Amino acid sequence: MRALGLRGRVILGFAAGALLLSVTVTLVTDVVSARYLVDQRERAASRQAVVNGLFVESRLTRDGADPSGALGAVRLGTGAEAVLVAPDASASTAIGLGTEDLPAGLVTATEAGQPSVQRYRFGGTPVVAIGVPLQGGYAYYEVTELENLDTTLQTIIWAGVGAALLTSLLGAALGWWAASRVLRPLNHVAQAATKLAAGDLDARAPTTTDPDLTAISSSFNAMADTLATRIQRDAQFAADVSHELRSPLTTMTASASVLEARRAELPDVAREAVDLLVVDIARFAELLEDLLDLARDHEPLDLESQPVVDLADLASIELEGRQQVLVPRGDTRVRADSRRLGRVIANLVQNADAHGGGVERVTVERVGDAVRMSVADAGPGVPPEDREAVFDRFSRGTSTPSRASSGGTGLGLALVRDHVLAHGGACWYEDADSGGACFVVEIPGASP
Amino acid sequence: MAVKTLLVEDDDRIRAALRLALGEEGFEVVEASDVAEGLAAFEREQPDVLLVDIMLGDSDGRDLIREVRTRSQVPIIITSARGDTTDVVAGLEAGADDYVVKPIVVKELAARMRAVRRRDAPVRSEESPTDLVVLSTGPDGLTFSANGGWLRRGADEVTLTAMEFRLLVELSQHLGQMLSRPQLLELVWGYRSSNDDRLVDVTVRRLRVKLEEDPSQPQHLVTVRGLGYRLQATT
Repeated sequence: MRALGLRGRVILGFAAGALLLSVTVTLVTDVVSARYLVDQRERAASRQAVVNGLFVESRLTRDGADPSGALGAVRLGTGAEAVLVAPDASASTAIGLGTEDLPAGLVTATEAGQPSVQRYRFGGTPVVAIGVPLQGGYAYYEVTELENLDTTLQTIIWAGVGAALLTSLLGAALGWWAASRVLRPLNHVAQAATKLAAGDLDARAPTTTDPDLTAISSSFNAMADTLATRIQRDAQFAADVSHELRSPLTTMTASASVLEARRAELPDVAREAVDLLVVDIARFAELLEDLLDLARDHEPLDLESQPVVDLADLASIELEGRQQVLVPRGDTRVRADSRRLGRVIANLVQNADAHGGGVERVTVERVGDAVRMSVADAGPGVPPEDREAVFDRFSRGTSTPSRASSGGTGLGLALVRDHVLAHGGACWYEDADSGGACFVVEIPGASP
Repeated sequence: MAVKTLLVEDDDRIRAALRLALGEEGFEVVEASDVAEGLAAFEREQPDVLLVDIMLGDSDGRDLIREVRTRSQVPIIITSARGDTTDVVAGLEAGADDYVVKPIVVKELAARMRAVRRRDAPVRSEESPTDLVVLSTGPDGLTFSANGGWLRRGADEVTLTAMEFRLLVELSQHLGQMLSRPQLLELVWGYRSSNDDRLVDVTVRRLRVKLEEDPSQPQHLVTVRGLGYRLQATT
């Protein structure tokens, strides 16, 4: 199971806290109010029983009523029943219940002339029994049900459960709000970091006056400043290197072209040396361009600001003289930097020529929202273990004999990958139907 | 007669090497090392083509290009050590016709020098007696003649650089049809390469300034679906 995020934990904490609090409050309320209500009820029942007892007593002694007549005149509250016991337990008159239903301790105490109260369960129902000793050896007992008190207490418990659920929800909502408050500045920093990663070197976290948060936003901004400075310095360095290396290289290529033009006038040894020089100066120039390209083009392109180009047209240009291998299908227009896409195609073609025995077929087709170009060659293919590594800088397949004879700079496919990624696309290796290698490039198609 | 070339370049060694190499290709090279020297040489020698480096020590090659453009439509090629878009576009905006990035391959440079000097209109077929293209009518109407080599607004001739002229020739021969950037690049500059969209774009922009009443709202030279351009007459 995935661990909860900070927000989840804060929300859970708040909800649990609220639940614990409301359950505690409910329990305490329940216990306290139960005791209070029972006491109240017991006192009321006692008062009523004493009043009733005195009433029965006056009927017996003053009016000379018989016990059942005296008891019959008593008005009992709901859930109350009464027993009148004659002296020496010789006779008893009861409404609802008999002497045997009364607790023995209560009867003994009352008969001893002591008014008593006792709570007990009668037939599963909680009741309170009150014994009142009367003049003339009579004893008056009243038993009152406490049942409807239990109903009240249950209502309180249910209300408490409801309140607990509600408070938990409110707690969770409060937790969510609090977590959002806490996370908002972090989100600002995260947004700035995302923009920065996407190449917007001016992206900064908003400054805040909150002393708890200034540390994170200001250290993030300091990091961003350092990064921006370093990137600008690197770009400046690449530009300087570019200029410093290109100038002498221009002198060299121009001079070499003079020597090449006058090749026939040279002695054999000098001619051989000039041939070596001319080829390697060209290769050096190519390598320099590839290196500068790698150093320069590391930011993702804003595709919307790029012109629309037809990938099949670009392929046709790069395949000059052998367009018959090109198979275009459907709408192959893309938004692209045509220089960079041109390099992609040129490098794939060059790769096929150098390592794959020449280009067999170039397919450019629309696949869903993307335009896919596959360059298949007639070579032996790339062994499975090299298929990822071919896109690395200066990678050379194990099947390739040596640098000098293989041609190319060893940067071609790395540049392909860089340029394709900058266009929001992907590139990979497949086996061609013919058994050769097939390099596939896919970039988002232009919306019609 | 050898084509006279003014090479404005601050690096002595590059200048010397290019002089030798272009000499082999049949060009006569006159050298200058900064903007002032370049302007003086331009007045004195009346070269057929200019090669101008952008970074000339303390001075800026683009100033030279702008100054030359006030008095001449001579073909100008930028030679730059930087291939970055902004540098190249700024140079082309100043009025250059083409650019090459160092290290320069001399044969390629020579081919481009020859290309920018061609101003002749392509041969017309027999059945079209006139190549006059009327882009708009009225007292300030725009008319263009490829064979005559002119563009007129009313009675006034609009001056065009070699590449602006050749671009207009190709577009007017495909009046009402879209030409893609690679097509224009091949037809006008003579190379098949996917590198140089900006060459087409900047030259189109410059042509619009001369052609359109409001270059930001082009009526004649319009962009088509981001793919290319089309020349159309207003009726």
